Amino acid sequence: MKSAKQFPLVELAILAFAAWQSHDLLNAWQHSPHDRFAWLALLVWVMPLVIQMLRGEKISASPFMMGAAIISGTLGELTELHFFGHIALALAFAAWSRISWRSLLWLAAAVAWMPVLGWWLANFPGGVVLALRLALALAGTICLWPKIKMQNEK
Amino acid sequence: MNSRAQKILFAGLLLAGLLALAWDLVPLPDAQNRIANFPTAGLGFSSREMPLTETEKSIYGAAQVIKRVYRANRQNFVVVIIDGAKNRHAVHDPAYCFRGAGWTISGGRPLALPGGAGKIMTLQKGNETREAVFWFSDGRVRYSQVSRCWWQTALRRLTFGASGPDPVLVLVQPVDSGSMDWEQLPTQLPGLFDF
Repeated sequence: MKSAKQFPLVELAILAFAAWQSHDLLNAWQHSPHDRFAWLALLVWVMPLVIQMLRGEKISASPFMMGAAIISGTLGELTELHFFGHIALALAFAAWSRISWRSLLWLAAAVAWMPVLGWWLANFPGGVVLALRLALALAGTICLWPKIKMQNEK
Repeated sequence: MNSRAQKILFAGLLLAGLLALAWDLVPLPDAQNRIANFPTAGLGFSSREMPLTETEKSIYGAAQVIKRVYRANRQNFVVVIIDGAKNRHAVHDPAYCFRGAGWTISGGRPLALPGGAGKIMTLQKGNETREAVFWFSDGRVRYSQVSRCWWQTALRRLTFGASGPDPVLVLVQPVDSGSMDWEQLPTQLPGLFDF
């Protein structure tokens, strides 16, 4: 992992932009029966990054992922489709992990905390949807886990 | 990340802000001209306005909504029309709202309508069974695919409305009984298919 040479102000601004584009999640997680407690899936999904931070690893965000987050967030703003905002948030988080097939699988698992999954699984009871969300988020986290371990051992 | 990449990303972020501002400054044509023609009374039917609840007001926001109880052929039914040009999020999958209100969607079947088809949803809550029908209409075509509405409205926003007319959501629910003769709807209330 590259070491950060300067304070990542722009990267954090992009993360804040993506978070703003996804602020509807708070409403969905509170009120939508199929999205309730989906924030737990976000907590599980984002765990690899938290562990990286707690270990004090010096990390640098991928400019490509950050650029993709800006494009997706802008699309969300212009089209008023929340889904693009959620993708932007996932990309802005994923930018802090080195791109690999494992990190891409973990990125795909971000759908676990998005309302779109609740919409796709609308025919299932809310409890089942939450269990599937957590299982998917955990699978994504496990995907990235060995990568973090290897990076730490280097 | 090197400083050059940071500068490019910062420029991208500024551009995103400017684009958002530009899009906000250009008003999107709405469907009010079309909906204004929807009659409140006519041969064989009458109606009365229904006030929106506080919850509905907060959900619909700036969207323009018509909510009326119609009486035709001894049947009472609520008609809700949502024009989401000023708040796209007001127009969403009606099944989402019903589930939020504690209903289970136990079935669905298409309903042939002038210019396309709607969808009849069978709703259940405890021992109670009800039906509701909905469709999206851009004035020419009627359909019930939510994803189609999403892309149609997204494209409209990207093109400042040049891609086509605004699709409105129409939702009809019987008041007195669990169901009604849906096939008769175009005959009972033809004005419902003029916009």
